[in-house]
Amino acid sequence: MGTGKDVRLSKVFDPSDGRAVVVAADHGMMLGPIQGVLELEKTLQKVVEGKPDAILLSPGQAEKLSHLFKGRMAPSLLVRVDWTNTFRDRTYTLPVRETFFGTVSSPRHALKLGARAVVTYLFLGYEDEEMEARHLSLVSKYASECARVELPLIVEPIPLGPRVTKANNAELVAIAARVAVEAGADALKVPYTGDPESFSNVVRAAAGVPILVLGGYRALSRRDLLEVIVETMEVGGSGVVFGRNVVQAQDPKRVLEDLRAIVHEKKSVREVLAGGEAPKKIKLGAQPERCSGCLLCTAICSFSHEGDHNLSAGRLKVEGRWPGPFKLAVCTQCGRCVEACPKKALSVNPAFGFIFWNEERCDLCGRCVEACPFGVIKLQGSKIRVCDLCGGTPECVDWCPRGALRVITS
Amino acid sequence: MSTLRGRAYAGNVLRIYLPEAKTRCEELDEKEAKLFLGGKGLGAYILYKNLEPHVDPLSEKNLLIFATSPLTGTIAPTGNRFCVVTKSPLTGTFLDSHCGGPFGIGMKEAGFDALVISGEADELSLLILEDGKASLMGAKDLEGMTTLETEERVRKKLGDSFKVACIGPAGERKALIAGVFSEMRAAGRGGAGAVMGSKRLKAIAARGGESVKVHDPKAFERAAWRAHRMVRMHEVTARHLPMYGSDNILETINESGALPTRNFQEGTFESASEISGTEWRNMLWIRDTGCSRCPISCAKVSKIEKGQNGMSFMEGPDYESIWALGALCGIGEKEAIARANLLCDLYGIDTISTGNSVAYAMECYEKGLLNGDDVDNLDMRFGNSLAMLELVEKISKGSGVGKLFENGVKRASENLYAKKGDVACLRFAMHVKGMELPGYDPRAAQGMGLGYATSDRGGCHLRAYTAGQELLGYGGGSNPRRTEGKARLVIEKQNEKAVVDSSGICFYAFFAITLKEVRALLEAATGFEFGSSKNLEKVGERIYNLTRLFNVREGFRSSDDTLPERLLSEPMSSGPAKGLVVNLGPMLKEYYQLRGWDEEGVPTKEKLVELGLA
Amino acid sequence: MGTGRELRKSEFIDQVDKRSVILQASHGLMLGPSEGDDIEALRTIAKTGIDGIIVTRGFANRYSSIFRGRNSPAMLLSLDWTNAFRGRDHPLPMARLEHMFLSSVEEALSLGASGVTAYFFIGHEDDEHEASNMEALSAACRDCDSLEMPILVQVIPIGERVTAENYVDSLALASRMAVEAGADILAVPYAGKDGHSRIVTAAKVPVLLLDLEMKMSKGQPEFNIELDTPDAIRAGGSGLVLGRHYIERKNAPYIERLVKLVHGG
Repeated sequence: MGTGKDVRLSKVFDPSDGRAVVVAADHGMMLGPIQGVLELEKTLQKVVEGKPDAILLSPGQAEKLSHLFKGRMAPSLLVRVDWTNTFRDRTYTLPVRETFFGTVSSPRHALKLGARAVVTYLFLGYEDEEMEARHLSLVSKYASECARVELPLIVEPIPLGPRVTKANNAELVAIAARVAVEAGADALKVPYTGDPESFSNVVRAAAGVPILVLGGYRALSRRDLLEVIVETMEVGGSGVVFGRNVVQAQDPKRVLEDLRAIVHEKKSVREVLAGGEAPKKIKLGAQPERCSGCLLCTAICSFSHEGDHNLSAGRLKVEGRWPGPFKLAVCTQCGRCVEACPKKALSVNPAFGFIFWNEERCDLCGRCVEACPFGVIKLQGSKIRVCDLCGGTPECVDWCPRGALRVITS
Repeated sequence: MSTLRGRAYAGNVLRIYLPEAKTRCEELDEKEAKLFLGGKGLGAYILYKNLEPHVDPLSEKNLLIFATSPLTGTIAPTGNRFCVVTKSPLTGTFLDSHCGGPFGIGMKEAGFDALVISGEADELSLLILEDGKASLMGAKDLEGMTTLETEERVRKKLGDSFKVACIGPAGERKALIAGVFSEMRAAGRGGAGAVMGSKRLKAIAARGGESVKVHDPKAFERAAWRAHRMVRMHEVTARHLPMYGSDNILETINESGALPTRNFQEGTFESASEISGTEWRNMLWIRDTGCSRCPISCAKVSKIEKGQNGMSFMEGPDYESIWALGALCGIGEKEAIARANLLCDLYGIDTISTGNSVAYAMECYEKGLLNGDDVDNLDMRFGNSLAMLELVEKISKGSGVGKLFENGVKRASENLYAKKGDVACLRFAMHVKGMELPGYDPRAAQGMGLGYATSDRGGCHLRAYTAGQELLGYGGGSNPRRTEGKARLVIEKQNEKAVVDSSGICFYAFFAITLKEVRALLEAATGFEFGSSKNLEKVGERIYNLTRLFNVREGFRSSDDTLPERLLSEPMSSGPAKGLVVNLGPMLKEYYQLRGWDEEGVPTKEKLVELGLA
Repeated sequence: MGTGRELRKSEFIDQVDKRSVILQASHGLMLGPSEGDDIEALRTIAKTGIDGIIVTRGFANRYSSIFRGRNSPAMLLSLDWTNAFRGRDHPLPMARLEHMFLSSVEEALSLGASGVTAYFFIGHEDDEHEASNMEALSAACRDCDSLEMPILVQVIPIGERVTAENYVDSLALASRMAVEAGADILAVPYAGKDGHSRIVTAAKVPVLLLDLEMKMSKGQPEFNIELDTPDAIRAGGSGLVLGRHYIERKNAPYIERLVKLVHGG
């Protein structure tokens, strides 16, 4: 890599750790004025406060919003040089029937705009193989111009189209990554393949070229989003490019703080979710109007504790039958079971607040079960099952797909 | 004891011989389980091996199989599916009809991976499965009860924790469009309810204490978490389906000119916006509900004004029901659609078949092939929601002209032809092999046409859902006008779906995850090693060839892999797909070639050897 | 000014106070090495918060690590060479002024530079030299225009014709000429508070103070950097260009003081 490319790329990937937090805000060109990019300047003003390493814009927006990139410590400007219709599914209008790509700018033009790198797609999986050849030749054209002007090329290799199946998807991400590198990519932006093992194949295929994982649709769970990033970095990923997850967030700055904490400050997901001081005493909160009766909470409670799907062992209760509504009962640490126990086998853990069962003291009389006003303490065989708040990160809360359970900190 | 116990399977297949109420528990063989998994695959294997060819589906010789899958009853996303497998009385083909809700889990926890029911009971009966044991109880008191009433009564009798699957009065009558129902979910298509009714089995109740255990709990929890995460992070499964149910697609389908309107005469419906997902959400839906272990909650509860049996709530409706009782009949009134759907649910019939029957009646009426006398003086014009409701009630109850239509559109058209002698009666009966067509007009999406023609249970959209790419723009799209590449696409999807239908998860989960995740779940749950996603896909190919073998044995050939005349030779009259027909010939030819079947659509010896089916 | 030019300029002009401190490290091409001017010295100085460092092509490649990351000085590429700084103490003192443009703006872009610099001299004995300097500068400015690269022009009165009496006028003339040719920023020697104010008013672009190592012309005023810099800023100036005589590791704390002098705090 020549000096120009190296210096420019170093202003995207922080030289201290080789990682980047990038925000993509180029959706307008491909999906229309979706929420978050409708008022792009307003959104980006909030985004900039979160200190991303770079922001990706379309050429038109790069010109209009260049003032956001002024100053040494401002984010680097990345410009997209191509366009596609492929992401426009029924969520938007006029859904795509056949994937096409096109060129909208050039590395030279991007350089004039003050870009530190350009971004382009590379698709694998076209029905018509001629399209694949044409797409690769466009990317090659960009690559050779980028080499001449020393502007880094970031390629987004994505398997899509009718020849991408539910069996070959992950494999194709790795293949596409390698093709992109061979064509001249200086960095890659790829979708997560779902698990670290398959993603490490992608990292290996990229042969040392830094990889950023992309975010896709806006995740509703903070833990999901951050966990995915950590998993990719554990196997060699170099950071993230998130679009909708940042620009459509209520608080883009906060999301970026999370991302920086994970990517640059190397914090764990737990630390970030806890927000600094991990509160020790927590309680479970229930919002039964959100419950759909799926029973995942009870199932995972039993499974994560005993490794088996015995719902009656769950330390919480969901009641109700079609058409609902459903009632949720969780352990509130009210202590009535503690009071009722004649052998003092139950106690409130002083540090964390959950009910602790001392197996040695217990004679299985079952008075705690009777005393529980919610029916969430169970006697099964020779075991008492009572909510232990899963050591501070209750599984039921994480597994509930509806947000019907949450953690309350005092 | 089966080597599969503790590895996501109960390890048992229960054979029930109804006449003598005899039951025999067989170990589930590990080798067979690895080849066919469960659900559709296992059911197909058992049916093929044990059923004589050319049996009358409503005779005592037919087998009625209930099958769960390895992931049923686990924390895999949507790990709740079971299916009913039998020879269909509606089509004469193989039938696998799938259902969600808690029954499959109940059945497995009661100790059974599959039930194989043969013969006929002497009287209307209730099969009870509990803690590894089965017993038959007289159920005369349940006769004539709706599905909901039946379940309530059975639970009152046996205990609230029992899970119940049953048939409604239509199934008792052996109406060919009757399905098997459970907690307002349905194994609706193909007449499984009629088979159950022909065996005088009203309901099955299951309860057990044998919760599902898996081979490697830690790996399974990890695989399940990752699969759930993918579902949570996918636009379709985290936003479209939870917010707007399966009806989220209606307006897009309409905009593509693929919404079959007035019995497939047009592809766009002027009142589509009245029955869009947003409309239902704003006006009638009061709650999202999810099947057991489902992170998607596509199901909805509608509050309705004057329901049947005094009910003010109904389940859904879902896209197919909204379309079949709505646009297909030229109706855009939500209340009417919901009430009609409720009738179907309570009396136990399939809404797609019902809607098609009503639409057929309407077209006949408008064309003068049916007059007022023929239809109990109902004004059966398209768009008449009152008439639709009345006809649906008659079909549900088998009363009056309902008797003409309760056995589906194929028989209705044949009866009418016999009566009136006008071959026009047959031309717009919209079915393939007897199964009524679902809500996608294949003239606007060629791949769907091939899918309907080659589906193993007749006109079904689920075996090869190419609509996702052809009409909804998912996965980079697939040109809906082109026929090139559709054969390969349809085959891929049929194979993948066969895996899904044999694993225990729902089609909707599969929008978000791939075979890689299914493989991770299955391997951690069962201890099987597939080696690659491609190998798992091969299992699907094997299963789909097996169901083909069944149909071939029953006499089906390439001439049956066809579409109604209207779709092949009547160009779409208006809308974006105006002027188009389905160009089935070349697609079908390529399909057979790629499948390794001969020109008659029969799997070749080489293919069967390759798949271990020879 | 287009977006690229604005963005690149903002890399070495602080966006809050619109000022800059730049270090001249291109001397090697013109004068040879100085005492202690190794990469470690530059690395240490880079950490003082200076806004930019001027380098030549060869050292841009070699010293590129100093410019990596966003929290680093901007790279400015020197476009030209001159023997004007070879004074009496140099082994080859200047006999006749020579001034050549050796690097291109395109090259600067290739190296990842944020700006380019060039000298503009006034006071030549031979008017033809003035003409060719103007021509060469204008050509460079045209390239800067089309490639969106900002250009810093270091304006220096030289020779015997420039006296104490006409110093400010000469400087003002040359400054204005440079701006009209296309300069985005100027660096000029200090001409007193009023003089500097006059230059700032005439130029209408940011004007930095040039700390010259030696007397380039007869009329060049004395300059005390610590006393005169605040005055210059009050007169509308925008910062400093420090000469090669600052490049030594031990000067880092002093440079840091100068940076604070310009940027406050």
